[in-house]
Amino acid sequence: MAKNKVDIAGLDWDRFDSYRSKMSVCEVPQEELQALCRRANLEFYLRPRILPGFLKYIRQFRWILKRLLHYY
Amino acid sequence: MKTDQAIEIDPGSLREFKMLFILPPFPKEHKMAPPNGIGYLAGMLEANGAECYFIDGIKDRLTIGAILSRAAALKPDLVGVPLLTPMYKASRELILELKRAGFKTVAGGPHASALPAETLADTGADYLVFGEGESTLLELCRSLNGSRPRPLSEIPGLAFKSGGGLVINEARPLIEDIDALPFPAWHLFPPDQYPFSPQGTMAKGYPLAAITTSRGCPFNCGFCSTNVIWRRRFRARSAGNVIAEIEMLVRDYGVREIQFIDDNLTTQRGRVLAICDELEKRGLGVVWSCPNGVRIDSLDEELARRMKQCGCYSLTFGIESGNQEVLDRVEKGTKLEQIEKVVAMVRRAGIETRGFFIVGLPGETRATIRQTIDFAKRLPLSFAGFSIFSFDAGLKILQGMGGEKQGGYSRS
Repeated sequence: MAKNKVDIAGLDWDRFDSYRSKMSVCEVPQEELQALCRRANLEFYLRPRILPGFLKYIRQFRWILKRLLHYY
Repeated sequence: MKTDQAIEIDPGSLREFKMLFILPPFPKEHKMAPPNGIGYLAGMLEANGAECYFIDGIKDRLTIGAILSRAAALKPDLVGVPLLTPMYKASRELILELKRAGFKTVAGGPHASALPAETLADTGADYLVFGEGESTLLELCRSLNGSRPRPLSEIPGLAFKSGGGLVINEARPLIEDIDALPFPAWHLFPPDQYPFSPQGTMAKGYPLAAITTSRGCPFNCGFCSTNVIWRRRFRARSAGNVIAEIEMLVRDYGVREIQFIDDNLTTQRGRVLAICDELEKRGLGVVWSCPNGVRIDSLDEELARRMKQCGCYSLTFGIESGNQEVLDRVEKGTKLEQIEKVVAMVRRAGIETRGFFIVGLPGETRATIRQTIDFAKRLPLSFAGFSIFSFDAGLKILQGMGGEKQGGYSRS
């Protein structure tokens, strides 16, 4: 049995989703964490060694888009 | 913890019982995946004679009003709604509306398991299943339909309201032999009705099915809430049982790719080799990957090469950080040098490598985040996913950190 105590009514559940938590638990503020995360992705993918491999999935992106359009 | 429990199936015990599962509308979610957990619950109820239905509010982009209309047409005896912290609000709103419309509701899932009393009180659900859910839900349904009436207070793993208060029963022991579980009820969410990349990662074959071959993880990473339900106990399906499900998916649904979404597929090396042997022997023609993350310290070159021979084309690693102190603080149990060696070795074996990184773990600084980005770039990875640390109920790492400041709530 979990022993956590919680004031659920006092929580703003809008702060939570799978990809953007709106709370920082380290010294870096939330807004800066999001900027660093974006920067990490750009720095990682915008490299000659990575970009071609990434682009080969373009066909799949088209396919994904087709599937998504099929549903929506 | 009490001894493990066995599964008892009685095909007539839920005859004429209708169970409806609903994924709430959650517009922020981009993953549209068949819900494996609901699949197992439905599989168990159907094996006992129940009629099960499923409404996917995420994939079908339904409003609560549309869900209520569909639910009313089905006339279910009980409606189940999963509760995960990121979608808690959406689930809570759905349960409240279902209650207003007169449905009997049961909640379950990781968030409900971490905080059963609080969740039951807050959501207004009639019942709440915490921990491993198959047997608890089965016993609840049998009790409700009268085939095997049993006082609710005697059903382990169940919480419910009684006389204006809440009753939280004792926890249910884990299922001893998970091979005994019926397969997920795939007919409720056929793989070809989901997008090409349902788990949010790139794929090679379509239709694809994400399956779990084990439950639990013996490790204790502070940022992960998997142990809320699985209690750090690793239980695995046999290779034969896993292959039987894959064969069924290929035969009945034309599946061409399998994604193993275990917490860590390679925890038992011999079992993975046995799965590889069977895949090769039966020539099912599927490719496969592990998009959920495989532990660096559970792979060796021979295993990686064998996996590649048998259709594995991509492995994702939960690397988390490029700073050793941060890794140690979250009790990841891996070393940076080890990560570099293993990722390079898997790449040499011909398997595409992907890495997950977390930004903003407790105690992080701008410098440690910079180290993580540099480390990711240094590794021979084809893809990297950087995420901001987020919270689930029941997470160990935040207990005593900021949880108390937020009303005593612990997050992961």
